[in-house]
Amino acid sequence: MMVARRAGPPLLGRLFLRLHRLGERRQEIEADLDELFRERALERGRWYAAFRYCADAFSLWIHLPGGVFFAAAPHEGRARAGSTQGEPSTSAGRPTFDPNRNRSPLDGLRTDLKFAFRGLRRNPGFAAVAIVTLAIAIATNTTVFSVVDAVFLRPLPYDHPEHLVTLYQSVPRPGMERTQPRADAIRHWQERAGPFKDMAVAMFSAATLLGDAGPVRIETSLVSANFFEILGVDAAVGRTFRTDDTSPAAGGVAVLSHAFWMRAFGGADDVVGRTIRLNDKPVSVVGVARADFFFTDSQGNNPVLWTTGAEVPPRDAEPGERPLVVARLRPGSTLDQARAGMDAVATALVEEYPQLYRWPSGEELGIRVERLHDAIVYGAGQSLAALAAAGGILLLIAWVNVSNLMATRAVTRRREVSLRAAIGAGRARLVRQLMTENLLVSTIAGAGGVLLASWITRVFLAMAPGSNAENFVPLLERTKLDLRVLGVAGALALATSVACGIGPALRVTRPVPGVGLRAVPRPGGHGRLGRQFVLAGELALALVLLIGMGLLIASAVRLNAIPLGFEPEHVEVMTVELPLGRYAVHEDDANGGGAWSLRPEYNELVNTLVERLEALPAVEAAGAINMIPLGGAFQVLAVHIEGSERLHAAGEIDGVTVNDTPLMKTATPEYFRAMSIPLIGGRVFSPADGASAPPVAIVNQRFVDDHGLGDGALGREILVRDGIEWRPATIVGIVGNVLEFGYGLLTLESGENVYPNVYLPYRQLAPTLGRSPTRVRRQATVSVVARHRDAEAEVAASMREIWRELDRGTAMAALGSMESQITLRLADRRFYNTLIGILAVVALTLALVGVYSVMAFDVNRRTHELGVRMALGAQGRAVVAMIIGRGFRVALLGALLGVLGALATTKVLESWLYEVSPTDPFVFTALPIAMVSVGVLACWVPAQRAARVDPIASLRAE
Amino acid sequence: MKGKRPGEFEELTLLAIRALGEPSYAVPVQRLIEAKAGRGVSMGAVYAALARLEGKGLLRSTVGEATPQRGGKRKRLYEVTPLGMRKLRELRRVREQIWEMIEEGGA
Repeated sequence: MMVARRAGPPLLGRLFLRLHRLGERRQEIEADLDELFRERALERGRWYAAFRYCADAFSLWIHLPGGVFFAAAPHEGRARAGSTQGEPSTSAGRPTFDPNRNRSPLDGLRTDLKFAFRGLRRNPGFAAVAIVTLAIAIATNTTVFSVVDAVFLRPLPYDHPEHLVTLYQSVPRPGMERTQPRADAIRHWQERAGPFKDMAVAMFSAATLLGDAGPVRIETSLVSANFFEILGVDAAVGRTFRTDDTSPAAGGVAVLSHAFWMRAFGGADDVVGRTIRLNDKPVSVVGVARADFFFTDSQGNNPVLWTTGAEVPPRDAEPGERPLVVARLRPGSTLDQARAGMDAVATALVEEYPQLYRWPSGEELGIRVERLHDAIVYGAGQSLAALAAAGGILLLIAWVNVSNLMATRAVTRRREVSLRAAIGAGRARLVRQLMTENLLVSTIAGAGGVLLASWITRVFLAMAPGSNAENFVPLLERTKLDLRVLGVAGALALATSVACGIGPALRVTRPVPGVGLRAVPRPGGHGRLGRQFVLAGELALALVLLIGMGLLIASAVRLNAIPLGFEPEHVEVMTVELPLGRYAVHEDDANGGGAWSLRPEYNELVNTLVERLEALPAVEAAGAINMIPLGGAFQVLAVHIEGSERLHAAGEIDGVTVNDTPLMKTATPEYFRAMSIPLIGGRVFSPADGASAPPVAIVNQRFVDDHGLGDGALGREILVRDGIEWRPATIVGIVGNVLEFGYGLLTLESGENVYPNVYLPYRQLAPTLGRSPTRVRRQATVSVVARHRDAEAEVAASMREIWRELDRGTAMAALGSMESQITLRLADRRFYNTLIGILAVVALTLALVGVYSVMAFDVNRRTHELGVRMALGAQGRAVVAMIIGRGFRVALLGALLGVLGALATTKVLESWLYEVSPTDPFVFTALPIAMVSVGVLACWVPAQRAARVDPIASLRAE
Repeated sequence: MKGKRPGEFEELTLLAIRALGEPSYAVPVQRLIEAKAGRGVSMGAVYAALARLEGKGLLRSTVGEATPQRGGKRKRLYEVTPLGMRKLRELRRVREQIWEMIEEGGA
């Protein structure tokens, strides 16, 4: 990522160059490499050029370790400098041993590096396996760190963001600790702002911006005039809001986000003072926010335009409002003090307004104060913790692998090391040489890991769940590879070389007088048993990940088996959000309250839309619904059923017992046919169910079951409260259950995905909707669905056309196939499953590579012993059995440890699992068996090789 | 003569300088060898070869003019010395003679 964005050569390569002693030749060489970089970038692309640049810069270290060399006297014979043959330690004329050389502390390092590089070239298999293994692990952990950094660590772009808090109304019930406050509550808090300097309010909504090219939907935010002041940010162009912006004389004013200014206005300086039309109202632009400024919430609403008003939150709220309170702690006061202060406010409010601050069942409402950053990322921790754990396991496995590789390699070099020791190299010097090799491996792996991480990060960001999806991760878009992330990658690489290399380096250089030179590496000795345990541990770690993945996949299979309850194929959906001003009116009453009423235009619009769609030849059936299944929003209504045994926690409203609060759906007659929701009994709505006809309702099977209505459901009269008062309705039909939300949102009571539904006909809706604007918001959202004869493009075009004719000023909220809607809602779960799955498979592969390489090495090392055995009459088959038997024991031990580890840890996945126990017996048997089998297979190749050992040749090697 | 003989890569480098029309510098040398030999050639190897050839007296270098294309940075220009030319011809003669032997023997 970093490399791709730069115009010039990559940082890594320039670093290599900078650190090298090039002396007076630096300019020439840098200019040469720059020239090559430009030419290669033009010919083969920037990535290739960047890669070659790094390789060239690095090659200077290898070929010219001495730095300034050009002017060196000709007598310094360097005939060997380009060669990779022979034993380096015996070569004469090495710069390191030349006392006349002008030495710097780095010279030794350069020499060591040169040796190390040659050593790796001689043994490319070792180098490749070690580097790739480490690069994968470093990339994974670098990615995880960059995500954690973006979401949790990097401060928000405000002045002293740690002093900013947000306030929730907390209801003492599970899952309701963080509810957004109502407008009147916010006003009460603002009046009693005790512990805070000031309080600002932001509400998020989508709005239609009327541009030259027609209406465009943008994300906007209505904020109090002190919003920018409390955050402590100022404008890049123009100004932010002032208190007098809220006076009626000021008209509407707006501040644009920097990105939106660039996108929609081309970054024009004269944007300040321009008037734009937002939701049919003129608004004048007063400023542009700074480029790094953003203000988001935990759902990912990320407005591009801010407006302010006299009363925020206002009485006549726009659709889609979600008020968020931001307050700044007084200087010197702590979060705990603020919490205590707001607790006192909450208690006082309950006494003053018991009807407002008590839940219907009597509990007192509290005020919850949280740091703004914590509130935004609330809920993201669990998802990321699982990923971080998986990344950590991968790193452990990689370390074990590389330690094993380095240990085995060190053993094969004992002879070389002994020789060097014999001709006078000190132990410290030898350890340093071996460590340099480790360092080189991990540095290359670190660089590769960073490149890989930049790619993984891009894929990760592209795949991540979008805003308002389940498991949405806020602030994720801030993820980038910066110096901090590179620092982590570097630290990991360094830690790797120390952790994996120091043990073998010390062991192999341990002086054993008189042994080294004549000793051919021998079997046995220390470490074999230990290594087997380490291998088993590695397999165990991989198995823990595998079992976690298995559980998630088992869960996904069961989730996918949940019926949708409708047929999404060939269904096109258009969703519109109607501005309240045009489709509803607010009537104030004497005591400052009031209620919303829908205008007749609202029902007319819905009917016209549906009729025009039905008239299209490609459409089989069309209908309208307030809340489309899997659309993410919902609305409930209180229901009273005479004789029902269920009582809802809401208790009583206006003296009538609430038995249930099912989802409230308003539908047109043909909606059920358009969605293919099966009719189980009775009838669907008919055009005759109008305002003057007897009120009717349709319920779903779940509702019938919940209330034990059984056969007597049809014709039963229930009381519903879809407006400000209770009214009767007769159940005329029973329809099938529908999956309303993503798989993650299970009902609190039953833990299932199916909710009770009550459908009401559009034409019979209570005209007066009550005082809560959120209620009206949902009324004003309409989705029309059309089942078509496989003519998606045509129907979509017609929908767009019809909507433009009906309402020129309002942009559509969404248009697309029902299938794409499902994908959107359910994608997030797939995202995490895929991610954990990939990590598990990589972990297993690495672990198997580890098993294979250690087994293969063991066989090589024991060639002599095996030769003796076979010379004494052992059959090839017996040798194979012996090697495989060893692998089997290791794999079995790994499986055992892995199952134990998984039993101890899979509980953390519990909340992600659906109808799968964290100790699911199938997953816990099948995967260990699979792993043992693959582990045994990994020994097959080395075992075959062992069986072919030529006894004569191996004995002659003595 | 020990230490004066160019190795294979050095010979290629020497030939490349000659082929490119003297005087030439490191970048075209690298590109020519990479293109003709069909394998990746690192700049480190090229610099090392140039330095060794210079050390053996087969090449000599001068500092060239600064050009705007290279951001005003100088380049080091190399040309083959008479000794270098002699070495190249000698190498070629030896090779051709040996090749002739192969062709005669293999026919």
